[in-house]
Amino acid sequence: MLKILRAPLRTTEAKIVLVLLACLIAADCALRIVDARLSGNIAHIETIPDLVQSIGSNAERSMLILGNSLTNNGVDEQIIASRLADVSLAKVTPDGTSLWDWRCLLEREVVRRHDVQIDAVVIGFAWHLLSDQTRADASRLGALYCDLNDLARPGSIGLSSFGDIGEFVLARASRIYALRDVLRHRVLSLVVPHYEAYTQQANEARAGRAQQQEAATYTYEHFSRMVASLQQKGIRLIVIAMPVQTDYELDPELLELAATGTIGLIDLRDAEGLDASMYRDAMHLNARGQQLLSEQLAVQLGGIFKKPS
Amino acid sequence: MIFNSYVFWAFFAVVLFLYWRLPHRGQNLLLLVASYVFYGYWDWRYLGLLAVSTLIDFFVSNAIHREHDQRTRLRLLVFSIVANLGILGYFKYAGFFVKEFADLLGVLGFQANLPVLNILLPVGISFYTFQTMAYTIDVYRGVTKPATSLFDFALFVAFFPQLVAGPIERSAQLLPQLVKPRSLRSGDFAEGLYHILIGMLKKVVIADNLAPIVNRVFSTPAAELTSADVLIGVYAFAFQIYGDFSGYSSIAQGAAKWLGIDLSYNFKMPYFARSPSEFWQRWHITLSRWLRDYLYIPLGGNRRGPRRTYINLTLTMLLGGLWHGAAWTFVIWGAWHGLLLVAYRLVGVEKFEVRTSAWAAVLQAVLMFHLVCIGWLFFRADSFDQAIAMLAALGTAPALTDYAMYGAAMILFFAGPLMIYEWHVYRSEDMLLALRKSSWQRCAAYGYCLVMLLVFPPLVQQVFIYFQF
Repeated sequence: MLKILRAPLRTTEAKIVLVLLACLIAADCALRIVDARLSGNIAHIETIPDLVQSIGSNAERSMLILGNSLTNNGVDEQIIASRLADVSLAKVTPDGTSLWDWRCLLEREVVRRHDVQIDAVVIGFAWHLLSDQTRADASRLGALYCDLNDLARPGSIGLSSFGDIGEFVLARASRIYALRDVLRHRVLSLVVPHYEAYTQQANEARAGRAQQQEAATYTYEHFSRMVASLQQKGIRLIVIAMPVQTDYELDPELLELAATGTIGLIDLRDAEGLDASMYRDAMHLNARGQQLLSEQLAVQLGGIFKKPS
Repeated sequence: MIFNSYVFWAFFAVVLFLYWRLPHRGQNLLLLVASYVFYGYWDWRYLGLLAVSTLIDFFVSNAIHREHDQRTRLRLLVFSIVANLGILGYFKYAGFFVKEFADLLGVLGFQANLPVLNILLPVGISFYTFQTMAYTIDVYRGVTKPATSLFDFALFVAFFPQLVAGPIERSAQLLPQLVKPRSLRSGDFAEGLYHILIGMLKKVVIADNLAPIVNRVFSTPAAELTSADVLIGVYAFAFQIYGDFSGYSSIAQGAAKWLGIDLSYNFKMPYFARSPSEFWQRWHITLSRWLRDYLYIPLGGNRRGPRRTYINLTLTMLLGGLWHGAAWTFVIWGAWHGLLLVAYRLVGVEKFEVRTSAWAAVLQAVLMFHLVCIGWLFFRADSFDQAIAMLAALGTAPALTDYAMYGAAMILFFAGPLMIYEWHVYRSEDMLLALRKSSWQRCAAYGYCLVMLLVFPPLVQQVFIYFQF
């Protein structure tokens, strides 16, 4: 075989490929140094280890508020902190995340780390984002939230196909590929008129179509494993059903977990006093909505947090 | 298994690794098994159909070759053609004709309770059926000798790089390459790499990024579209279908090249064609040749006077349209191209094909491109009514909308650089122009392809359009 391949490998083309690979590796390394400057979300993700460390290594009781943009826009940690005076608190809300990202993130930053101990994790969610049927973003998982070790059991992080695994590995290996959405957005926003507006429209339409594709049943097997893993480290999990402008139902399996006391559930889907004027779009709260929701959440968290877990 | 998937490249890497370690017979056996795995990965139930088609043509062609009685030879050929077209017709056209027949009966006042046929079209059936039919006809004509080994012939039918979307290879081109031992010659790696990179760029970067623009325009009611919106939608589709189909052919060619096998070019810069006949010498070349050799010429070609030539051209293009699918929009697309061929002949084809100045060539190519785009409107539209309504919208007063500006910029960004490169290829008449450039120029070109593939993959992956045909 080597004899056969020797000739093609000696060609100029093979050398060109090697030069290109070297250039790509150099560009990748450069991108790893400056990637936090490319987007606020990446910068936020890079602060996660320090945020967790800051609350998990002191003697006070600690709470990690986790979620995505729903929680980021809906929860003001200052308001919560003012109501829970003896609790150190951090808010970790990277965009577009769901069960699989949160599972990897918690495993890596909370469960496996011996230098941090957190008392409670509070996750804001909507729809079926905590269910097994939530779609995993393999690229995001590989690049930002999981380790290569997690690939040993791809199903446990929501990877269901060979394509998902390929995407995970490529994003893990190449920062350029992992951050392609950010780079694409930067370049196309410069050269294509109205790019942001039409991309936003397309994304919303796609999200709408995805929501319409309801699964027959929603299961919570992986979520339960995540809860068990946290409990083993003495961490209580509380989930918040966040409000959005359209109604959604809570899944029976999730309600069952709450009913048995396995998790705490705060249902803020119909938060009192919240109306359409307090949303900036179909799902994200504006500043007024955030304040109102945070005050109600603080009251409820105060009630739960005083009880021994 | 599609070319723009991780699973295909992992599969291909394994095949390639094993392939060059094996002797010739082992290579063929491996390729045959790999081809059936490749096809079965999509839907294993249709493997039987592929095998049946292979068996029929293998045994019939050998029988034709052995037989000396002309009438028996003809009967055998007719049997093969009927069997092939019967399978193709059932899977591809039965549902369409049953529905149309029921509608016709309804118009005539009869109550028809015909069964609704929802038949799943086996991927690539049109391609491999045409390839095997051409083989048997060639054996009948004495153009080619039949394969002596069933395994070699099965590989000729199922060779995975070109199985599901062509190129539709002739037995004289592909079979001898399969029968003889192969080696990786100097330059094969470079040529394969070039085809694969440019094919991936066309499919993943150009076609799939333009698909959302096309989908949006064609899913908006025509009354809500301005002429600029329609124009952008059609332009985007022109580049989408070109990127999609020529990208597939290019990747097939590159993958085959790394296996030491040459496949035919299926596209040669069709959007720079200056006349319909030149367009069909550059677009889906292997199907055009098939239609010419097995339909147009047997119908009489241009040997029976102008009127018969026009009829033959129209008939050939109508059937070419129907080959794409069972829908009136495809038939009209074929008829439109037939009409263009006839119209250009009436005007005098030679006027358009004589080498003129670059500017005149550009103007002729721009005109031809727009005529092709009118055809694409019918091809892409969901119905004849939609196509007509969009054509009517094209005639309204021009109003440059934000969406048209967005679409135009997206087309320029994604398809523009390739079109500039292809213009140089067209002028130089060298399909491998990039490979003649200096190392640094090649490095820059490959770098562009790689960066575009890494940074600008589509937000949603699309399957190949021609899989449905």
